[in-house]
Amino acid sequence: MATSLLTRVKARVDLHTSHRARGLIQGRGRSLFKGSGEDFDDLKYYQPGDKVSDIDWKATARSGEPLIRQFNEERVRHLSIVADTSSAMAATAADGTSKREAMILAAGMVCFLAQKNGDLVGMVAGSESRPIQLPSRSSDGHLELLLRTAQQATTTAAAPASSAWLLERAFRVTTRPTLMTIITDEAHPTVEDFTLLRRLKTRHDLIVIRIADADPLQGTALEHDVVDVDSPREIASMARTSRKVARDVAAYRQARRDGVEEMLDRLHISHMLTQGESTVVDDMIALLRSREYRHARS
Amino acid sequence: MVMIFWWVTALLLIAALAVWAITFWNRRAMRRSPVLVANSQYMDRIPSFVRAQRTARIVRVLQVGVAVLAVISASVLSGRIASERIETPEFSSRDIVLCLDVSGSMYEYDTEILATFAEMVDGFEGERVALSIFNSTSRTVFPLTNDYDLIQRELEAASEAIDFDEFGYRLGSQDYSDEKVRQYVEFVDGTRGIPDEASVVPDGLASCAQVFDQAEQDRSRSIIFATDNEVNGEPIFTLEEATERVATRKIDLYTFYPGPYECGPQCFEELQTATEDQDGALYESSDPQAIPSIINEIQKTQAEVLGATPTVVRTDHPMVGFVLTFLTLVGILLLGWRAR
Repeated sequence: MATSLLTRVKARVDLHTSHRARGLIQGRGRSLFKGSGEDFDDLKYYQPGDKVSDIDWKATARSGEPLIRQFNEERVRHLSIVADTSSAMAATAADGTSKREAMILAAGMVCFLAQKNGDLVGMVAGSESRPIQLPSRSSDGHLELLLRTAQQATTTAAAPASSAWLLERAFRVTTRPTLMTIITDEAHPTVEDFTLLRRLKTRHDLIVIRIADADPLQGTALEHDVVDVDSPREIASMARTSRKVARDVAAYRQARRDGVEEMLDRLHISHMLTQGESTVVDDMIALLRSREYRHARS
Repeated sequence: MVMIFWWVTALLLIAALAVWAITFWNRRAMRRSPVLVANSQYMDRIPSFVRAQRTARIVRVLQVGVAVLAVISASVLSGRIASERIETPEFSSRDIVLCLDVSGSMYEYDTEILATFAEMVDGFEGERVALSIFNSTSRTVFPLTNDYDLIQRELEAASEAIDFDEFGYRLGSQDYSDEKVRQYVEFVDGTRGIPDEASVVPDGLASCAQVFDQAEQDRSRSIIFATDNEVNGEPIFTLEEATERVATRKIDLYTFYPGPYECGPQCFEELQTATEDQDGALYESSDPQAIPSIINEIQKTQAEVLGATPTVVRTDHPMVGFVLTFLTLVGILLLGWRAR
């Protein structure tokens, strides 16, 4: 793997980003993360030493003097990634790609936007037996390390998913308010995590990115066996091709998804469910745009 | 029941085992690259899925069972299960005349000879049998025939009728039902044509020799002659003359002598000399139970005389194996189609 993960993510983002969405990425990603620490306060006269790129050209044109934007709080933002690096994330996503790669792409996109802004990114991941925690840093090397750590932790041999532990851990170790991106799969966070999420919400701005699981029956791909990463068992072709079983399984998954989504909506948490690596970039851009409108209205 | 190609069966079974073993050891390698999925534990709580899994397991067990049965039945079928029968084809051109002395002293032996022959009739194929009995005169109960139903019926009836202790009955020490007495009297009727004479053995034998017909045909002829040779009367022939007549007609003589009754050893010696002079065989036993083995002996001797090489005749019994193989194959197809 010669190229760094961050470079590859950039390439993917460029590839996926349509002309319409390009504005989000360009302009330093300003519009993407409008948070509490970003509030525009005042304009001040340009002093030598200030960044030329901070000059507000419209205001300069109006006043005739070079003016720069002034923010009342620190400019640097804290982002955090809560990555579900359980064995479940090493499985196949709904579009047939790897859930892990979709997760890396989502995390990479956060890192990519942070890198443009010089934002700090930390990470919480792992399991109870092997917790992973990376401090908030902004260097390219750190972002690359972060992505690589998440990628390498997510193996089929990793511990099974425990969203409760992960959310509790994220709450405890991330003391500073952050824009927190939780990356997990369609079954998480579970409806039992409601209290944890509500507590987390009091401190952080939450985005939940959920990656859909592949159909566990794979009724059209009988030449391949289906193995659950956590409970390997043989699923007979008869069960895989049965229309009734397929209907019941689909109904169960829909109900589970609906339950999780309803909970997240009640908590006013931005969330999305993506099919996998092929759709995650587009879905994230759409999510961030909708957040932008929401913030613009409020 | 034997398996003619038992080694084919063994080879097929070994091959089946080997195929199974190879696939068993390589089952990992044959695994198709699996699709890894997650969060599918809930499926165990979906009744239709559990049911489908259970059905699939039952079908699989059935498939394995039927496949094993198919392999076994096909192997057994290829092994050609057959029953073996030893046949001496030349026997079918035999003519046998049972020539029995029905004087009072002989009844136990006659009963046994008749009963033994009645059993042997089942195995006959082409042989002809006649029964001639004599005392003072001779009576042909039935002539040479291959109507085995009749032979068996007559022999069984005769062996039952002759089982009659006449002396004991006359002395009052034995009691028989009227029916039994009537049977006996009817059976021996015609053998006492000359009053006050009994067991005119040479004449009896000579008339037995007359029973053979088809003299021009090349058939093996034999007389099984049972007597104690205690003559009470005036025979027309001497015993020597009678056996000579038998010999000139190319009839083999098998004489059975049960032991002395009233006459001394000279009766036996006369019988022995007369028989053996004509290359006949003489068997002697005072035990009626020995008769089946003696008759067996006679059969064997005759086989040698005839130069009959006993050949093994095998009859295949493919029905069970075939039906089983067919049914199991149908079962495999049906189950395979069902489990598709």
